[in-house]
Amino acid sequence: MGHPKDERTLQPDNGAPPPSSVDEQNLSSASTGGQAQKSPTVQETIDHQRELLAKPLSVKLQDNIDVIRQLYADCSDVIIHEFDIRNGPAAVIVYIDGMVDIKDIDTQLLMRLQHDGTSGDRSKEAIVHCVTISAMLEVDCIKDAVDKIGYGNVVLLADGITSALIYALSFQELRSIEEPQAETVVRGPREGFVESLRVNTSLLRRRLHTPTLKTKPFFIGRYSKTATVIVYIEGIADPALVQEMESRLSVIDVDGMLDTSLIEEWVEDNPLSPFPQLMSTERPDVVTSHLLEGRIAVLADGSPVALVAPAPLLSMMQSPEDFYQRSLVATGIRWLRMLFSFIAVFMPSFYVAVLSYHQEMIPTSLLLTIAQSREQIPFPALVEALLMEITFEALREAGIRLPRQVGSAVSIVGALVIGQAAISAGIVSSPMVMVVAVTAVSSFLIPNYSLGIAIRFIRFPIMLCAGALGLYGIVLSALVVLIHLMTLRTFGVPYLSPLAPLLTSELKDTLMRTKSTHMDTRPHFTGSFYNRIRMRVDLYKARRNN
Amino acid sequence: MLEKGRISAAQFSILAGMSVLATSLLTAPGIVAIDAKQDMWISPIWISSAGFILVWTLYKLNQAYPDQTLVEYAVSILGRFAGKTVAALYLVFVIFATANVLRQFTDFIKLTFLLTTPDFVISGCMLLVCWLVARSGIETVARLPMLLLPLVTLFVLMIYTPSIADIRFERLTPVMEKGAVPSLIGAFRLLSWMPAFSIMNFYMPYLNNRKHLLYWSLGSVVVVTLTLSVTFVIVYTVIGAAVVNYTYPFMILARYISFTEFFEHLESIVMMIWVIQIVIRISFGLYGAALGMAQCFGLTGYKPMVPPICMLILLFSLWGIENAQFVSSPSMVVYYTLFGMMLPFLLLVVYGIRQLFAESDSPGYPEGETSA
Repeated sequence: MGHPKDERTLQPDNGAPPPSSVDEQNLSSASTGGQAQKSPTVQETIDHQRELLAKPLSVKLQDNIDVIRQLYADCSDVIIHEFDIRNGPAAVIVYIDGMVDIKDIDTQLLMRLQHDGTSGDRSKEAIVHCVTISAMLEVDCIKDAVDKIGYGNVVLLADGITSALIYALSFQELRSIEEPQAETVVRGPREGFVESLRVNTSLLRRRLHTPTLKTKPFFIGRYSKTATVIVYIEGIADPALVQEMESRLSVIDVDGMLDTSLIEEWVEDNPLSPFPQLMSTERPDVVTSHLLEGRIAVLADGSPVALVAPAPLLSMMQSPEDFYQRSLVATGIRWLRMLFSFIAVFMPSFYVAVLSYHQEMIPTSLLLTIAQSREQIPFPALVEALLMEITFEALREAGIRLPRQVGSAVSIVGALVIGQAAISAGIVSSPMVMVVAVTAVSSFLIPNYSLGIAIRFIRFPIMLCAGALGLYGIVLSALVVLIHLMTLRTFGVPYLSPLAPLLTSELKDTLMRTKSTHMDTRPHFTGSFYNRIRMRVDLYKARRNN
Repeated sequence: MLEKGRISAAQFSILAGMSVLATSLLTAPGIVAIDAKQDMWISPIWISSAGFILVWTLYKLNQAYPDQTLVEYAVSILGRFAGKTVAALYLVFVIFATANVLRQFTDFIKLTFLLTTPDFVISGCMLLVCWLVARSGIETVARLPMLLLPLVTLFVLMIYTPSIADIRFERLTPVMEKGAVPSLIGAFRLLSWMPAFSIMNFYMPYLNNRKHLLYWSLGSVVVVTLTLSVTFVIVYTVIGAAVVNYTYPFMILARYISFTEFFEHLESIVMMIWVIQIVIRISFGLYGAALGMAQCFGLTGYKPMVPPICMLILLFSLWGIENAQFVSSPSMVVYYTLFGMMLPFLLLVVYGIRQLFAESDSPGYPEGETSA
């Protein structure tokens, strides 16, 4: 198991990076002061670990057991079970309690070896023959064996054999597959990824029954050794894109990788931008459809979120539901979504600019109403807007963080804060409450959560510009955002493609969602590798014309 | 090469067209109407010939030196010393012309919207945005207009469409009452806009489909001419002879509109059109000047030149220009024509003469390019 490239990550730096001299000093001074026995320095500990790990498996069983015992010293959950194979050599099995299926160990491994035995044969083949477990691997050094133990395998060592036998009997307590709560649909599949990589890849396999669906493994993190895979369809995805992702993943050298969002930060093109440059989704159907369009996905163990690259802005404005509803309706909803994402960005700043600088734009009767409601408000429009928008953001954040039991209390108080109470207290005007409410609703129309956050975030600087320079400030800041979006790239693909640069042949699935029979060509990202035709429509058309 | 990006001929022509239209749409009607009166819509048609000649000149020069800008081929044609001098003078012209545009814009914003904001705040904010565009490379400079074209078109139509009801075509008669002279004088005043097309030379070497270059560039001139003519017709037929009294007749048009009592006072939309157009126009000049300056001094990258040129533009826009009317004064028109139109043309002439002599001397000269 393991790809040649990840050898480096797996190599013996099983410890933290070399310690600085300051650390060493602190450690030694602390130890000399407090304890009688001098504890080893960081460097000594790490060197010892590396030395143990680098050892090959010895012929003598007792040596191997000693090394493993030293490595797993103070690990209460590791079980090292020594026994004798009937009519055979002495042996030991090592596994981590809670990660393996103990019943299987008893029936398939121990019962076979201790009851049936190898009838005098001491060779490896005899032992392999005796055990009735198909998922078996052989490794011949301590480090590999320890890695396998860490992944929940059972390692069998026997006297006189210089390789360890690895039996995959891992068993995990998992969350069941359920509908992802952040990406619900009315029509369409309700499966979501879980925290196990194997389950997630099997969810994809269940949708793409083809050997061309590739899952290239990587191991990221010195301590966590998180199994990560690049998923793509050979023949559709550009090999250069896969290579690019491989090279970006291979430079990640960290202690631990807890979630794919950390991978995202390492591989994206511009880490300073507020906009997400990889798409994150919990839905296997979304990943599948992107794989079929020639994109690639990254899945990691322990994370229910898959990353999809390349991800231009407009692909993140799509909801899976667009493809499960009728195309005309879906196009309408998509326009609604885009309109409201503009409102989410510009509505508060437009309100501020118009009230502070361009009152003549408001029809007279409306202006009178607004003036009346603002009569007793002590703040200028900008302060009022900032106050309300920040309060709303705080309430939104509180709603996510607070425990369920308190949540309802917060929503009641929140409704009062951004609502009638605030108005009657004379702190904000009622049109402002309207503006905040509309903005709040519209920012949640964006299907991609991280894009939604980005859009909510950029409206604050725009509000300040509007307060300083009116509409002129809004137009300028909008242009700055636009220029930023135009210069962004996601894996070599311009972020605003196919709008800028304009690719008319690829507009079928951006501003509108055409009939699926019209989307007969795949999108083209970069490079010369382009598998163009994705469906055969001539038969369909012939039938329609008859 | 200092720039690795490539742009398409369509992007190129939209960039050039929108840049030239930038200031002319708003201020030109008032200036041209002074002499041309009801014939003002003919003036753009006269002046389009100058545009065609200029574009053709640049096209021929680009064919002779496909990978070079004016700054580079000036040296190839005139020799090192004279070439560098001419190139430097031309760069000063580009910077000055861009500063002039910035000044017109600042005056407009100051007179109509932000009455108490200091000049340099308005121009400084504008330049910051243009600096961002120019440093992002030629691809961004050229994609921005393409992306914003639908928006600007929509806004312009929002101003034109409601005013259709107020059009009185009889205001355009009698056509050519005093012969062609008034409209020709109007055309002369328009000469302070057409030379902006010469900045195209900085973009021509980076086209990826160069065989369409001539059609797209000429198309750009045609569209500019037609847009100006149509604007002049609408402005004059709606406002009438009073056009002369306004600095920004287009703005008056927007103020005039009242549509179902709700769409009133669309001045802010005029401002939005203008901000977008001016960003495009200034980054058009800024990028060209920065690239040319880097080539002139033999730098390895043009990006370090962008901030100093921004400062120069800011400085020039505040110095030496008394008011926006200065743009169409005869001395300015002569200066613009000299550098924006005569200079490329003279370069072509010198190149042609050298070519004649070179043919007899060395047969290996790249004439295959020019005869195509």
